[in-house]
Amino acid sequence: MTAESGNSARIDGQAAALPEAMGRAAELLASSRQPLVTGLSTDVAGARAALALAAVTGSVIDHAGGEATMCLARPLQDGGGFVVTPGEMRARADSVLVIGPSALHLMPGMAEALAAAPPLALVAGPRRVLQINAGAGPLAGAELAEFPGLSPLALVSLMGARARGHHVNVAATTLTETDRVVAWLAAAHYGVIIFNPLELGAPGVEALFRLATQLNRATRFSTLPLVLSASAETFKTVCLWTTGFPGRVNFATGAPAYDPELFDPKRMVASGEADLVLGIDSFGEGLGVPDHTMAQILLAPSLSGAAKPPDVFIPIGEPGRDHAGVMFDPAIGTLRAMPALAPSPRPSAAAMLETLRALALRKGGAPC
Amino acid sequence: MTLTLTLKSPPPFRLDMSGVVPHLLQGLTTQALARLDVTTMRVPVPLGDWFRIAGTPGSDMVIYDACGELDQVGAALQGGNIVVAGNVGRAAGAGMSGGHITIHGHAGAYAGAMMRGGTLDIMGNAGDHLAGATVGALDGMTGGALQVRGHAGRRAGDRMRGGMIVINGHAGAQAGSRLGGGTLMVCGKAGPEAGVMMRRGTLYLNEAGPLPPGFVDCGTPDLVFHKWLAQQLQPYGHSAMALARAKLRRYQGDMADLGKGEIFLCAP
Amino acid sequence: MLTRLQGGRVIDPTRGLDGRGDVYFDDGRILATPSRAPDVTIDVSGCIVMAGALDIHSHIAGANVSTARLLLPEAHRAHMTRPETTWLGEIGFSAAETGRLYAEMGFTFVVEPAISPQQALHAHLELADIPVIDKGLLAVLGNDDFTLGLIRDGAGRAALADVVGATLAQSRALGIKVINAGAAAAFKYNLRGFSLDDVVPHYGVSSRAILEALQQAVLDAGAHHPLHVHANNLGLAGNVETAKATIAAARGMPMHLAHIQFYAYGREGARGFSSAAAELAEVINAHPHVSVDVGQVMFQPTVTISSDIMRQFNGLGEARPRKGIIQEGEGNGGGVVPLVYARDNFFNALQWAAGLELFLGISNPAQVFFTTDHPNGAPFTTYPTLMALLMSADLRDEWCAGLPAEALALTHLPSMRREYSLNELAIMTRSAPATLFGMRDRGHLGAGARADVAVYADQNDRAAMFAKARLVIKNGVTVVRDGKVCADYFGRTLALAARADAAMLRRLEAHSQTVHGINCAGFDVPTFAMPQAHAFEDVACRS
Repeated sequence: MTAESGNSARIDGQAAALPEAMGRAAELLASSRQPLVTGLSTDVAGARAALALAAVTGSVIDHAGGEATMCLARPLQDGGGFVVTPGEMRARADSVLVIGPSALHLMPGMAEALAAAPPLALVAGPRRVLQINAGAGPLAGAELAEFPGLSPLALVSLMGARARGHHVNVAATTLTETDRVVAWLAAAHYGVIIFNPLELGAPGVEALFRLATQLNRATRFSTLPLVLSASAETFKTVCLWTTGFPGRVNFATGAPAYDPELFDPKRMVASGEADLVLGIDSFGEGLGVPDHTMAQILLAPSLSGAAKPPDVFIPIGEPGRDHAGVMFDPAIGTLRAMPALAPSPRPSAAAMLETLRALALRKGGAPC
Repeated sequence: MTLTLTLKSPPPFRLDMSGVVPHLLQGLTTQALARLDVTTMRVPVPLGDWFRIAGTPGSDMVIYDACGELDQVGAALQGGNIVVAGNVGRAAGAGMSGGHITIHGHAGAYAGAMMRGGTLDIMGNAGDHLAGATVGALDGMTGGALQVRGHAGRRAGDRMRGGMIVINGHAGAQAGSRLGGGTLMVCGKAGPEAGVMMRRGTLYLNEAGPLPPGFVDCGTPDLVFHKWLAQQLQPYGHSAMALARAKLRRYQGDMADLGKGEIFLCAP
Repeated sequence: MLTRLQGGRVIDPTRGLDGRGDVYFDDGRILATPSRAPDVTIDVSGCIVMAGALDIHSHIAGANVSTARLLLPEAHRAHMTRPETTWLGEIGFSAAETGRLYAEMGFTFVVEPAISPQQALHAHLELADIPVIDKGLLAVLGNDDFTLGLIRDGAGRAALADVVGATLAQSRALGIKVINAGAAAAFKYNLRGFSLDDVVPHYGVSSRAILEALQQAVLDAGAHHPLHVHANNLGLAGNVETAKATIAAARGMPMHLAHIQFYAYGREGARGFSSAAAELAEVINAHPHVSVDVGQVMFQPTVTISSDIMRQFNGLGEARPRKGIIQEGEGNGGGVVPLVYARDNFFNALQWAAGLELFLGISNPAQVFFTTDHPNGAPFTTYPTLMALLMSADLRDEWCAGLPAEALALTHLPSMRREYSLNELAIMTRSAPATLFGMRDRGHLGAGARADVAVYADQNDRAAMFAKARLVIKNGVTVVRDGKVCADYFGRTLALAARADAAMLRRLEAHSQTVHGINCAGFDVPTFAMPQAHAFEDVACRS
């Protein structure tokens, strides 16, 4: 390993031996009233270790991209829905509705995939693609429909109302355009709606799932939510099997408690209820919390990009590059193993977090 | 018998008051009360560290000098009276099935969430999701009466299925969202998209931002029921009675869902 | 360290033992009576000593289980800071709780029965985090385009055996399950019902053809466990005909039919829904090459987790609470629908009775397995109560007294007086499942067996007895003492050492690229991905 600047452990900005930095981090954890573990752009092993550390230190834990996770999770929790894997969408969907400008641009390879005919469609032929409110991101070859001035929720619920054959109260041009889209949807044999949960917002996603339910009465439909952060999806997956909840968990009183609003890292920092931030950032996705003056421990490949120098910095490797790992892969819609592309002795986030956990246990950091 | 709790100073963290409701306190000594753990953190926080405790536990309780860090005040209340001088945090009166709570101050989000009975009276403002449903729950308020003298935040009455809510001031966006029954009245102005995803139930709005597209104008019916309603609303103040007596335009929706809900909006 | 469990009542059906005796183990293995004195003697007099129990069908891991967790935050532990008791609170719904609760009941091996090969890595990572017990999984085939295409094209027996072999190897599975063969694919073409002789559009292949091809292929690929079949028409009135036709379709060869209770329905009575369990039990008795597990229903709220996506979609209207998630994937996908089984509900009472009728009507306890199809019929934590019900006709009478008479009148349960003996329970939960999975060193306490032992304090209250084992030994390590897990121990995941034909792997890769646009190496389960270096234990194929 070559010695890069910013790549050694640091305490208060000064280079320090790793054991000292770890010791200082453990002290901070032990003296904290309410630690917050966030960032969490890391692999399955990192997420597991972070959850285990959070459990013994009584921390609140969530991924920096938890907002997008909640925009999809909340509608599923509140009413359920339909989702499909990307691979099956490519194979089956004769009709794909894309909502908004961002969805396809953020999904590598998807635009090309949509241009190909679905090999398993009931009726052979090219795939129909319709994009609503493409804005600055129209997709080549797609039909377009524009609904200016409608909120995402209003737009989706308008489609829902017309799909049910109900009257609505909108301008004639909007009604015509809506009915064109609804007729297009009804003509699908297996349709998929691609959307960005953050763009639609939780209520919009809920309305979309209701639309899918309605469409499924006569034909087949599912949806494909855009994955905004692979590491956020990784954390959600691990958190579900570890705690039963998709994130925003508090271990303070022993058993994991779940509250998607109360345990939002941004709120925990902004309100000052957390007094220590333990950030893990293997991929430079940031910690997602507002500027603060509280103590901070950072585990990241390098210090560059950290807004405020952390009290303790612990260098780690990047999963899939320095060491092997497992991450959610949006292209296959599930976890995928990644060998190390450029193996190095840099430690994994998991190894450092497990060490911290052992130190925290020794310091009696366990709440129960 | 009245139990009096006086907050010594605002805590720098949240306190979980769900264990401090009359039916859980019967027979406890002052010492035992002081030991009740109200922590939301990894270290225990005994009630007595933050409150001066006086009186004996009975059906009534008064909290003085309350502040927004006190969560779940009166949650799951079964009977008796709780009076709060000051503000409260999240989920005041959540899940209550009986009794009366009066808050002489503001309440945070989820006040009266999923309440089944009793009355909750908030003299100040209320936060988001007033009388709403917590994550994953399919029903918000199903019974009882709730009044907010000030304003309410977003999604007031979310998933309400029964009971009565009167907001004398304004309501934020999407008041009455996902309503399945019951009555929600906003005597001031409701924000945009009131009644979105409403299935059944009734909203009375003095003024409103743009309604969702799934609400269809059904004219201005002259309902005798509203005259009767106005009389019933006397305890909720002049603004509520005036709203019921006003000339109201009826909208039916949300057509994106079942579409059997109704919004009565003051005709301009 | 040579350990002796002294003076218990040892029940070991494999060796025909039921009597007072000692059990010795050392270095993780059971020993015959040793020549030297034991280093440790544990007095278990007054206790019942059995091998660790095996559960062959329990949905404990994988994408669909996680979807169920996601769907129901209000149902399990601590959804708020000071939670009320919730209806899935007991099972916690986390990997750690699953292992703990199974171990405390004396179970040492559990099979997760429905993992899509594309999601095997996720499932294995989750299984690896389930403590104490050993695990295994069944991979799902029969609704995926590749298999259906091979059958359509008449690719032949060898090709199908290669697909099964490659799938077992890549998914690190113990066996193969087929779930409503062809229906998930047909549902994607908008069919809403699917029976044994219905044909999947686009492929022209019947459910029966898929079943027969996979049954043979599983045998040819050398799996011990025969094809694990989730039949068509689950839960529908009159579906006993489907079950009987499926058993006939086994053509005298081994086949396992899962959660057969959900197929034991006739059409009699005013509601056109009756128990046909007695009739079905007779058919099973007459077909000894077929094994079944029951999928007993118990009265409480639960959540159904199933890759029978057509059935789950059709069941959305019955969801309580009213929500569900339908997740489609390369093969089956999965559906999650919460349900409430209520004592006063005619249908649920009938389902409960039908399950017991099957347990009591199937004469050979080695042919019927103990499941609630966790969590579909009930969470696995109801097992002890169910065991007590099997062991006491009086207890069943007590329960029946609280059920709708109209439902019971359409069953034979009240007249069935059979009571399971401890030995029969041991067959059903120990020796027979070990045999079904070809595991010679499990399910018994003979010399050379793995030192997986469950010790229960003998008491009249059988439910209490089986709920909390007095002592559980896993691989020679004491993991449960007085009903509580007392060791930080992780078992392994058993995987069949199946042969993946290189040419078939190339075909699968090409297919995955062409049809799904996916590099199918992405679905591998490499050892380096696992949290423990020894997460897996290989099981040799049937020779």
